[in-house]
Amino acid sequence: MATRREWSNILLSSDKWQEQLYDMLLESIPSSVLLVDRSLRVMSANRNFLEKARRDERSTIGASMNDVFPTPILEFTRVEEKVRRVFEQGELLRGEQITYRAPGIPTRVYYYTVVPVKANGRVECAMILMDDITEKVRLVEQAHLVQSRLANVVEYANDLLVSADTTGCIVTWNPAAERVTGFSAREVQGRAMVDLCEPGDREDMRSMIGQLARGQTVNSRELHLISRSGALIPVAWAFSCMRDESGKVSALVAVGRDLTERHAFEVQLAQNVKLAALGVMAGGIAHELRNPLSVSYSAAQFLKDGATDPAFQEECVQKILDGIERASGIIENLLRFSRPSEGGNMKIIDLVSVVRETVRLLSNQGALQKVSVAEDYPVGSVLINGNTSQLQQVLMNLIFNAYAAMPKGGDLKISIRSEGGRVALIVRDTGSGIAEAIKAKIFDPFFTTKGAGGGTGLGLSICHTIISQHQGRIDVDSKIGKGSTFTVSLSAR
Amino acid sequence: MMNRDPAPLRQTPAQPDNVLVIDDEPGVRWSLQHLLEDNGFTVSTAASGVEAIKSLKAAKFCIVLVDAKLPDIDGIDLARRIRIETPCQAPLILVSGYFYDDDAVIREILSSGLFAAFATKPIAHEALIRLVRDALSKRQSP
Repeated sequence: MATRREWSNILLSSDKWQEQLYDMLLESIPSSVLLVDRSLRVMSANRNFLEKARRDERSTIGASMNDVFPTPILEFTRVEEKVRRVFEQGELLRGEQITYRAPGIPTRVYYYTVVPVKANGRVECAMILMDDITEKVRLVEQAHLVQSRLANVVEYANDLLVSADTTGCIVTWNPAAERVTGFSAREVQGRAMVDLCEPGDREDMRSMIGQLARGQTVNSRELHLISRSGALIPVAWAFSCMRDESGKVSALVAVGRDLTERHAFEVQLAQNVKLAALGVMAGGIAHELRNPLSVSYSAAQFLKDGATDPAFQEECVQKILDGIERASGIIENLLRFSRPSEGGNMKIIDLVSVVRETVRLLSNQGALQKVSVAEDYPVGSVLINGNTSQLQQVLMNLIFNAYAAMPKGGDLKISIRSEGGRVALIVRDTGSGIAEAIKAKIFDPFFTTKGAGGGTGLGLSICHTIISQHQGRIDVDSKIGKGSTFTVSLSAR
Repeated sequence: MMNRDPAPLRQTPAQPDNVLVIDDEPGVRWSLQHLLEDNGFTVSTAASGVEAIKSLKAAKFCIVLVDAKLPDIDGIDLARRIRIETPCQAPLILVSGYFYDDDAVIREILSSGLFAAFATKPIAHEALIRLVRDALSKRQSP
């Protein structure tokens, strides 16, 4: 094997070797190299150039540079003029980009440099070096495109997209966040996310940022932002962290959804469901109320028309008093039901009395439908922490559904079981039952099996929400044609 | 299906002033009975659909007052069953606190002729007696 010195000897001693080496280099580099003389005739062209230009050596060497490049390129880049200047001034001309389309091949983009090759202080020839940067240009363009698409996603998203450093200071703040809060990106950049939260939610936000910064995952949750106007905006946040190449957390990302409209909608829904329930009840109420009114009214008419028998007179007076008392009792029950929900205001209540009262309120409707209602409660009270009117609403929905499932009558059993710190309220009917295929959907809002105008599809969804707010659960067990059993499970007090 | 009893055994002869009051509410039966008796009618009462059908098979009435909501049957369904299952052809008057005057249901049952009249609760005595007399006179002078 030749030593280093031997190699250099060979190279230095032999012009032939040197020439061969340059040829090899020229042939193998990924650039196109063209050598032109002072009359702008091509002296040599490397393989890369010939391949890219789809020319052969014979028709290229000795040809005028103007014949080698297509006319449009010559006109557009004025390369000829530039090469001439290099000859005159003897200075290197650093490249410009040219787009070259040889016949039959896709457009290529080149970056070219013209190098003066001097001998005895005179520029003898010029070397035109062209690098194919088509791929590079394409990648750059693609990167720009992806970047602008991503920017558009952030820009036009309806959700709040916020990024922050690992200490929770805001870095980016998209237009949706600006719109919802009224704060511009410039105003909040560098400020702590925590400071934009409602004071009551700050500790939560702080601890989540801490967990994220340590690379832990955090569950989405609802935290309120304070808007520029001072209004509280409920936002459902999903957090994640960005990591650098070494896997270290480098930034925090928060995606937030403004829940203002949804909350308003939910309140509206709850109200509508209540109105719908009242609508169903209206008939029963009218019937219930007008009967005692009618008896009292009749008795008063008998007295007015001059009933003479003292015993009958006494009977009439008693009927009037009884009727008024009964009507008033019905109205009291209605008031208890329709009094606006205390909005999550929980207190210790006796579930048995709540259930008993609600069942009584609806028993008329059941009787009309030939549904026999059985009740089974523990002796004494069953205390839970809950909201009376909301629980009444849940039970009413379950009972109405049971009635609807038994159009030709049946048995409805309402029971309360209390064991091991849990309380179960069970509503069992012998109705049509729920098909397995739809069982998973029955708690979804707007899901209904009742025809148009029959149901809003909201009853069970509201039940589910209310029971969740009570930290309880609602489950269903059903067999088609046999009936359904809804079990509401709550913790005992 | 048709459960018509062509020759009820115990059907009493026609009594022009015999009224049947069907209502599950004792107070309403009490008031209607007194009102109608004071106006010269003979009154029988029934507290359910089953009881009413039984009475109508057994006796003939010149007019029948039907409550719209009974524990065992809807008043309108009961009217249909009366026409099918009993020989009763007497005018029927719907008495209810469940409907209002121009309720779609009421307009329909009146125009179809299933009921001769509708009286709302609370019952105004004079108005009810007028309805009963009108229904009877239409029946007697066709």
